[in-house]
Amino acid sequence: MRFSRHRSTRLLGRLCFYAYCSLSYIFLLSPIVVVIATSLNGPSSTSEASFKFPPENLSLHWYWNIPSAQLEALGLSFGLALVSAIFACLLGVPAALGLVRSNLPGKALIAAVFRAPLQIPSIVTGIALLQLFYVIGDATGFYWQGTLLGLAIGHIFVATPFVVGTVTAILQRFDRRLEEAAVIHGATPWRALRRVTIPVIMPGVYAGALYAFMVSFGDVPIAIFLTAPGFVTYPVEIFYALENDFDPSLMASATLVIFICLLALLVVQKAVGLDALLKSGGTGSTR
Amino acid sequence: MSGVVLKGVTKKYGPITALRTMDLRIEEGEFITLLGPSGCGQTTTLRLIAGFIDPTSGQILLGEDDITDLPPRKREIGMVFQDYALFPHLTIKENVAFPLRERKSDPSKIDQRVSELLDLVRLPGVESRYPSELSGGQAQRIAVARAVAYPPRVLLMDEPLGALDLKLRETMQIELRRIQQELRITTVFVTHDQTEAMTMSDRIVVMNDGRIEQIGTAEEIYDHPVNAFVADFVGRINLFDGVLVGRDQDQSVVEIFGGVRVKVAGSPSEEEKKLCIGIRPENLELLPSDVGATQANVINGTVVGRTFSGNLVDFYVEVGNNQPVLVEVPAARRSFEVGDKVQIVWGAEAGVVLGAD
Repeated sequence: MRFSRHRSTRLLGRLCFYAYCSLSYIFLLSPIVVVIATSLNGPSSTSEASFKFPPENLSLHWYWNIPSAQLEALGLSFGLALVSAIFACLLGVPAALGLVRSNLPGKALIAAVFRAPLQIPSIVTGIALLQLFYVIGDATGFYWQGTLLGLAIGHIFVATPFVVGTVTAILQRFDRRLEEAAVIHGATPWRALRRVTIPVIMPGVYAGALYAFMVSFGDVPIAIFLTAPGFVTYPVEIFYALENDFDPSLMASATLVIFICLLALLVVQKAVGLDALLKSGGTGSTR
Repeated sequence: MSGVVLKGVTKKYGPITALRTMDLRIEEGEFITLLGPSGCGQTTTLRLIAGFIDPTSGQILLGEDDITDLPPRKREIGMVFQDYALFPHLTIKENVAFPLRERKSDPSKIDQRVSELLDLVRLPGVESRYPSELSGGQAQRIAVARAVAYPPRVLLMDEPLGALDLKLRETMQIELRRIQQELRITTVFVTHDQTEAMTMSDRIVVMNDGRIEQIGTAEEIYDHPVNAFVADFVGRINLFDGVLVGRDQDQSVVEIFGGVRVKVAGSPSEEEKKLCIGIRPENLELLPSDVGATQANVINGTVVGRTFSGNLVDFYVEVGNNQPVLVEVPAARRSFEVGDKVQIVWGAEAGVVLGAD
């Protein structure tokens, strides 16, 4: 078969395609490039000179001047994100199993409740939790704001829907005959769940856990209400630093985080693959 | 190993009846096929035997044991699923060893048993691969190996060959039969492919609309179908509605096409006036219209279509205003063209009398 279209037209189409792709990449990557480049400025007397782009007097000077408070906050954020991701899975996986497998009346309503944290603006969630913690504190004498417990509750609240979403998506494609094959060949329902169902839906769990981790790690609006002096997450610490003492060490610490995240993604990709993450596309709806 | 007995087993889903009081005795070591169009109740029957669903009423026996209320894992059944249902996250060895581990076999003997099983299905040395690395035919063999790993009392197969291409399906039919014979294992096989049913089974159960239409060997069902449904579903057949108009010794005279009288061996048991006669296309013969025919039955017609399929030629012959009659002729024999006037001839013993629908 012979195409009547001219070669030049096809070339033009191809150029447009490449241009479009390039622009997309520039749009997505340029802020990161600016941050990384700016962090490499050398020391100078005036503050404007420290933020030159492209950088002058390339050096790692600012990396040695990252305030220890930021590093401590970074440690807290990692720990918190890890705890949030784990608990989001412990809540989200059984929830997804129940939503997909059971014939509960009002299943749609329950699914909506599990999605609700995504539909409430985080700032509202933050205020609501703070208020709740005051009430609980007044009643019991234990105030949860400014504690790991209080922060974790807030982050688990917003992170769990992501796990429910990815696991629901993968469960809906799950071939029930795998479980039948397990059961007919001697497995108890519990063994079938442990040896077949859970391993097969694991990519969805990993994907959801990664989302949960990122949601917790990047959160400002909730954490800003629930942190206390001396107990601050990384994004909130950065937020304060921007307001108070803004210098390129901020860029240095941000660059550090970018590379840590990149490394983490590579490890996850190597270990479980990110295909599941991309395919499950965040919060799938329950049928 | 044991036989299986279904006693008045019924399965209803709300107002819909999937299976109507089914009675079936499957002998020990027998290869039995449940054959019928999709959704006729064969898969329901299989799932009832497996225990994935409970009968609305009736009883299922395995050997002497009533298993009606037993959960699937305690029934000691092996099953091969459509699309195989191999565990994608486990290696072939772990897949095949699954029933052994779940049923608490001696762990030190598992390796040896797995390699025996892979030899049985003629796929040795694939222990460390994953199901995604196997072809359809190989996955099929592994599914069989897993199903018989912990010697089951009964082997169930749910359209196991449906996903394979024709050539592979033919090979696997022979393979499955060989394995079944080697193990002498009671097997219940579900298919909607009548060729598959006929080549593999000791007996065939033809099912339709949730009930059994006929049980018998392939020959019995092909040569002596009990009704028009079975005759039509198993192999190809020309069905003519007619009226019984008389007797001639042990032959019946039936009027078809509103006027043509034909003779059929045997006679309906009761004095049914309306009936149906069926004649397989390979039992009909075509002659040029100018040749004197000696057979019992002759109908004149016109060739309106022909299709060539290698060893055979199918002729479609129009007789009056009725549906064309299908005649199957070996390709080597003399041929006719579309538009030729022909005579369709057959002996009285070539037709079967079927009850009218």
